Amino acid sequence: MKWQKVSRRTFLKSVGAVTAGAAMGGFPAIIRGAPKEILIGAVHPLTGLVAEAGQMSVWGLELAVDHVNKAGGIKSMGGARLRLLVEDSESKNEVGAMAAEKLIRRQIACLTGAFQSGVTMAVSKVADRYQMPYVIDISVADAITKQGFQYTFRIFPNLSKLIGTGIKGIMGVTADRPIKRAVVIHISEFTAKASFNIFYPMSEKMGAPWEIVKKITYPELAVSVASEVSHAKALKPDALFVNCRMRDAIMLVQEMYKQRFDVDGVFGIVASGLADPSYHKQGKLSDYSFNVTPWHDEVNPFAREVGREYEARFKKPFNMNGSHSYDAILVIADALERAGTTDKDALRDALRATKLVKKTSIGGPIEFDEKGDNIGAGAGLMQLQGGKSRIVYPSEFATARVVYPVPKWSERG
Amino acid sequence: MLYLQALVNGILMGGVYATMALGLSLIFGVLRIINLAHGNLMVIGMYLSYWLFSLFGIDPYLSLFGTVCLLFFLGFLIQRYVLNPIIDAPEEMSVLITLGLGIIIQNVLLMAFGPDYYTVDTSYKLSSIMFMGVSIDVAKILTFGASIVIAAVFLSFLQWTELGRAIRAASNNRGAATLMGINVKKIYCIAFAIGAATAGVAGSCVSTFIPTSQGAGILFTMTSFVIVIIGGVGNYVGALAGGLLIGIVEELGAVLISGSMKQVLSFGLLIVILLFRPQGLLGREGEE
Repeated sequence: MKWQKVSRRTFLKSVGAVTAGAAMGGFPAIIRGAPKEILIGAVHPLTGLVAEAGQMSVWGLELAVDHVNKAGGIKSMGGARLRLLVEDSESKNEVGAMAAEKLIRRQIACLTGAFQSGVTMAVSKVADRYQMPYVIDISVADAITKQGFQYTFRIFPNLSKLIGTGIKGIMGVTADRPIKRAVVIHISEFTAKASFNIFYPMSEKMGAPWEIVKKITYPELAVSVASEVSHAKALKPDALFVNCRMRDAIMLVQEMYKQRFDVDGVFGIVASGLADPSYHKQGKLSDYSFNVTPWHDEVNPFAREVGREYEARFKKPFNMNGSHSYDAILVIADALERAGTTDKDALRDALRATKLVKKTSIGGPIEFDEKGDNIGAGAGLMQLQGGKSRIVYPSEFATARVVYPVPKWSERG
Repeated sequence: MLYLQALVNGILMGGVYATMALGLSLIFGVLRIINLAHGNLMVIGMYLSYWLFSLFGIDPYLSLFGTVCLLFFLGFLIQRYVLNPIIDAPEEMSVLITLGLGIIIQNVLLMAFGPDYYTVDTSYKLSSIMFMGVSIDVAKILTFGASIVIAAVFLSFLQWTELGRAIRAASNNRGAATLMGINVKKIYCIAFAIGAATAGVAGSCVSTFIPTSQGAGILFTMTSFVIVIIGGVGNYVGALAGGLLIGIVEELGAVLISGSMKQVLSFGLLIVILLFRPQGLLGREGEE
């Protein structure tokens, strides 16, 4: 057989014909049959001081996306699958805002994130400017939902609600031995300061029995809190109200132990450091400390099941980060299902009409008020017992009996 | 009693600060390199101590010999391949490069160990001596001791060894040292390596009472800079004195004024020193 020389022109012609034919007939059919993909953008701190918490949130988001997809995706949209795009906020407001813009340019249907209130505020502004539905999984500052943003919704309780629950909880668990003298120690940082600015007047309004004898603060980059602890010890308080990040939380209890400073209880007022797994691993040092925080609902079988899967897959405890981020995806999927479209306004309206009962976080069903805050958002007073964070208040969510006053350092072996 | 406790806390923290600052002082003094990765090198030391302790049960004060070797080697490589090529560039180039280096180290650690915080649970981690109602932290005393030993070793090394003299010569006048037959580039590598090794020692020491995490570098770098400038650049006794001064001012200030004023006080002190004694407390005239 003799090979005929194929001229360049003939070659191009035949390739063109095949490609055009395929384009008209074959390939589009396949594309039409495949389920559509819906992109969800998330901004979380993956580097910087709170990177650990950010990572735990992203895992919650990933797990929920997998669950939604496994259950058949968004059925009203032909089983469209969700895909998560994550951007690092680097714990910085301006980086978070840029990350949000970047995600919006990639044609996402909805935004979530961003953990730190400052970053969330920046992301909210961007979301509102682009009219992009934004479901905040975690962020506490009251101010976020007071800006009149139309596209922002928040699953997490705001600070006032959290602290109100906390004060009620502290008064509840210390009813038999009321706290009379208390010292406040907190990191000099926005959320901590905002928390105590709500805590002081609210304690008074709620008739709390304690007198705050001293307010001690220390800088964010402190390498030691020895003298702060010495100062508190000299005032002989019954209890400490604290707000720390993780490094200083560990240093605080270490110093209390070394200086043999015993109190009836250490209460974290929405202290992220005390809610963190690295802190929980401190054994006798961290045990028995309290913290007011949103949590996952350990009594609810669905939340327990999700929690077990999360822990098996990521080798980290399922806590408020995992659960609230998980719920954010459920809320978004539920709204997409009802909206049947990724049109921004339709999705916003669907989010506004949310009533989600099946979820993993503590509190009532997720419904949003006119500002976008979750009416059902709840919190618990937690106590660390045997390295595990247990809910001791309110009683309907409680998973352990409270230990108060807490054992002295010398009694902890 | 409270003030006495704060004073004791301050002296102990001062020793810790001095340990942190020694390596930086050498690098700054000899190489004129503003090493913004100093704190990150310390953090590498912390991680090494943590892992050697949790895997093999080796105490940080023993494992610091391993840390020294590894960081010496790492420091040598950094100077040889990253900093020597820009030896003739303006000083601010080293700022950019070491800043980048610090970010790289931090992110490599983040990738390797995640964002978790680790604590080295030695038997003496929580030990303190109660003396007349004042508690004295054992781990910090050990670190203080280490800083005195390092400073002494440094001083004798620079004063009495051939290599030490070569380092001083290179630091005083690079051109002249080269003419005298000193291989300045090699000397620089050794000096940076020693500085890095010292940062490693400091990291090993503080790992017993400061939780280890990838983000701690900036904290240590900032504190060390203040101390080095206050004490006098390249002056090891000055670094000790500067560390003590900052430690005492911060801890007493925390009790007398407010905890959140700590850094205001130390940086305030820095500005005062820069205004009235720019060569540092123990630095010689014309060294600034």
